[in-house]
Amino acid sequence: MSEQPTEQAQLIPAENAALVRGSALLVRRGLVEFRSRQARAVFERGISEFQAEDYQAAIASFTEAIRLDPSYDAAYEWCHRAYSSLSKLPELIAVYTNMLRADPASARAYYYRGYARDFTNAAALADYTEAIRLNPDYGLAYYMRGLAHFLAPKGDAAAAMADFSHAIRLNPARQDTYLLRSLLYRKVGNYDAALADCSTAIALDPSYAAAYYDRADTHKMLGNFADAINDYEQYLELEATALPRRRELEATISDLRHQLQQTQQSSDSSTPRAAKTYPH
Amino acid sequence: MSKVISRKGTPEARELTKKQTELDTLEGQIAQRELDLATMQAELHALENQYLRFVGVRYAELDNIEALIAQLRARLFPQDTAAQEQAAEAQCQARESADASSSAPRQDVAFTPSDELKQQYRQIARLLHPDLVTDPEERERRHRFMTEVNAAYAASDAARLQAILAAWQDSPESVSGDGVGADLIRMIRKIAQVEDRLTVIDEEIEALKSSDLYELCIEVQAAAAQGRDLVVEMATLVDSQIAAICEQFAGLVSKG
Repeated sequence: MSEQPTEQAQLIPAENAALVRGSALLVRRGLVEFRSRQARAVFERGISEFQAEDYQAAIASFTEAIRLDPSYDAAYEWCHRAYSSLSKLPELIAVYTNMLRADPASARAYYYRGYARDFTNAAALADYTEAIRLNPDYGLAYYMRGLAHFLAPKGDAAAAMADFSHAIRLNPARQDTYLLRSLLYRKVGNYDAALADCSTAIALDPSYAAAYYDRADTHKMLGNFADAINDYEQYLELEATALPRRRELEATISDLRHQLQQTQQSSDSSTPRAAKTYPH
Repeated sequence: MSKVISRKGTPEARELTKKQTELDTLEGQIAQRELDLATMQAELHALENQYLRFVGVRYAELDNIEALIAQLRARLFPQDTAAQEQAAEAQCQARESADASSSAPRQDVAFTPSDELKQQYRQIARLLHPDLVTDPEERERRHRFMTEVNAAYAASDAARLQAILAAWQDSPESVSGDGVGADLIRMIRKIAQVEDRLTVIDEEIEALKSSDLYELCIEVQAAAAQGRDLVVEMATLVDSQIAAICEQFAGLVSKG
């Protein structure tokens, strides 16, 4: 039989495909914006529930917010916190597994499932890799995979370095990636690069205490006592450290001052100042 | 042949009666499913029109202002290639939104078919559905009638439906072939055709259900149940976006 299928009345002016496409896009746009507004309202409710320590209700709200707007990162993050508060992260992993059954192309579901696992878990690493495969511009997934490589007992420093560099290319404004990479540079003895990464992190956020601390450590290793003192002092100014730790650091600073004095005394007038100074 | 002696008693005749009963049931089913599909299409189309007239035009306005801003930026920074590209893109988007939103008919025709209209549709569909005949020419003729029927139904035009039915009844019926065997083959083919069409209708309904328009429809109905008009709410949302972008535009103009 070669009969034509039953014709239906042309309800949409199909003669103009561009118009049909244009209308469909307008509908999609309105729907997405409306849902995202709904999602924000539900999310706010979830935050109140979380603050009232009603984590179960908060989970329901955050889950609903994710359903309404699957690109709502804050909802995923808070959902994670709520599950974590109930010590139910394994359940959250199952939630993402289910989500992936319905939508196997969701890079976010892979990413957040990896996030719900232990850092050093090989499955977490596999989830980040899958998220990256689905969305090659997923900066956060590179960052987290780098962190997983970095923290694993037999950490793969080269892989971590590559991931952090990739994450930085995709998201150059995220300061802590520079700091993590600087630790890796320091580990392999590339101190200049380590200092440069710390300085970039500080340039991005001048109140980033940890960056001053790491830069101070590197300066200390290099014998740049004056710079190290400066950075430790900055760190102490910015970070409300516990008293014993503060005393310890103050001792380090005074020790560095002492060493600085000694170098200055021992150096003769032909070499006026420590050879290397680094930008702050 | 034995048909002259006893038509009723032969296995073919018994089979034919069985198949006729089966087809009768299917006729009722196909009429109902065609009605379901036509109703859904007409409802979605009416909603689409309403949406385009209220929300679509506002998006077109928003895109137009955005295109103007992009143009202004491109003119302020002639060296900035990204700004030039953005201006071209924004203009393209604005044109597309304007075309799509202006394609909707001017007046609002909500689709709320009465039970009588639905009943009328079912009756007609059962009578002249193309899959209830096997002759290709006759099927083609019925296709044309069904297209008319669907259009009249979508327009909630009971008079036109009645007229189509009258025209149909006036037209010469196609003659059926001879012999129980031929009847049986025809019957089996009809059943197969109807079953195929039922599958196609199911698929079409599923496809409609997975559309954004259908999701919008569900949201609109849910809001209506709470006494809210979602289309108006969505329009208000775009209005606030327009207000915000106008402010931005004013800022840019005063700077330029």
